[in-house]
Amino acid sequence: MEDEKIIDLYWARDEAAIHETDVKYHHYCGAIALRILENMEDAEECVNDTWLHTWNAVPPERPNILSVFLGRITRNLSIDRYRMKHAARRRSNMETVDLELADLEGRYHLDAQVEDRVIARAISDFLRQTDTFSRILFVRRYWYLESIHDLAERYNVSESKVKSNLFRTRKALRQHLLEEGVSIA
Amino acid sequence: MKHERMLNVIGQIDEDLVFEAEHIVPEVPRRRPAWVRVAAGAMAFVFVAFIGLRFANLWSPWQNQKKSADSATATVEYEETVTGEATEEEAAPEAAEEEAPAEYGELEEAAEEEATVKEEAVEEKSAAGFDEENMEEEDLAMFDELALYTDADTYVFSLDPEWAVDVEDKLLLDGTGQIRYDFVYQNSAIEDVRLNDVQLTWNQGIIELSEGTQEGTLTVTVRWGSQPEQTQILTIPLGEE
Repeated sequence: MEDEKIIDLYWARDEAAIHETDVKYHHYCGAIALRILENMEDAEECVNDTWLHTWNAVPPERPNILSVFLGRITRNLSIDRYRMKHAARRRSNMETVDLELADLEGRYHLDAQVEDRVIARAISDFLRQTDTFSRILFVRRYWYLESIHDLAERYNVSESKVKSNLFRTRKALRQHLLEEGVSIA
Repeated sequence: MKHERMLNVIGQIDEDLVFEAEHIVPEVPRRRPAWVRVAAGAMAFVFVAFIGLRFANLWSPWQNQKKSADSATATVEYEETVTGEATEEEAAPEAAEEEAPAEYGELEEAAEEEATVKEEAVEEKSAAGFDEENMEEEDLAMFDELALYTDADTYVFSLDPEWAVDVEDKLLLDGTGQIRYDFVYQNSAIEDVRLNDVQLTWNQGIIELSEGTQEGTLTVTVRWGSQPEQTQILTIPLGEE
C-alpha cells in the first residue's frame, strides 16, 4: 500500500493502518531498532511501540515521508530503551556512537534559547553542503546508527576509510556549528 | 551539550536527508588504480633514494664527470712534475678542467703511455750505461736534458733539479780536444765553461779544450731562462775511468 493511503487510514482512525504499516515497515524499523539495541526481543518491542506511538501521533501530525517518520520514532524509542537497559554497559555500537559524538559536544554550549530543532536545521544545512558519500555515511552512522563494519561492507570500502571520512565530517560540522553562532564554552 | 542530546538532535535532521541515505547509493570515491599507486610509490622511492644518496655523497650522476676533471688535473700536474715544462693546461687550468671530461680517456692513455716510455727510457739508460746509441733524441727531449758528449762517451744531466737521473758518468775524451754539446732544450745556452778554473771557448756546439789539458774538472754553467735562478752549474770530472 502506498504511504499516502496508510496515512489516510491513520487519519481515519482505521486500525488497518497499523497492520499495513507493519507489513511495509516492520523490516525497516526492526533493522533500526536492532542496530541500536543489538537484541531481537528488545527490537521487536520497540517496533511494536513505534506503531503505538504512530497511532497516537497521527493525527494530528501528517508525515511527509512515512518511512522516516516511523524510523525516527523507532530510533528514539530504541535509544531510550538502550540507555535505560545499558547504563552500566560499555563498548556496544551505541556506546561507540556516543563516544564519537563527544567530538561535537562539550566544546561549546548552546544558548538556552537555541532549540534542538534549530540545531538540527543547522546540521541539515551543513550536510547538504557536503558531498553525497560523506552525507549519506554521516546519516547512516548517526541517524540509522549503523556500525562502522556494516558501513564498510555496504559501500565496499575499508573501515579506516569510513572512520576517517566520519572524522572529517564531524570536524567540519563542529566548525559549521560554531560559525552558526554556537558559542564555545 | 551532552552527546546524548546531540544524538537526539541528529535524529531531528531533515527527513529528505534520512530518506536519501536510505534509498540512494552514493558514488564512492575510489582509490587510484593499483598500478598508479605502485608507480607513484616507485617514483617516490627513487626520489627519496636519490636525495638520500646525494646527501650522503655516496653517488652522483655527475660523479664520473667530476672524476674525469680531477684526473685530468692530476695528469696535468703529473706532466708538469715530470717535464718541468709549462703546458697549455697550466696556462689555463680552468679551460683544461672544462675540457677534461671529454678528453679524459685520451689524457689518461697518453699519460700512461708517456709514463711507460719514461720508465723504459730510464731503465734503458741505466742498463746501457748511457750508451749514446741508446739515447734517443726523443728521450732527451722528454727529460728536458742537456747532453754533453764526446765520441767516446756521454755525460747526461738534467736541467730540472726536481727530476733526478740517478746515474752519474764521467766524460771521457777521445783525444780530439773537443767536446760536442747539444742542447735539447731550445732556450738553453752555455754561459760559462771552465776546465780547472780556466775559461774555455765554446761555439756552435763545440767546446774547445786547451791542448794538453784534458784532465781535471770541467765546470759548465748553463742558462735556460732569464731569471737568475734559471742556471745550472755542471761539474764534470774528465780524463779518468
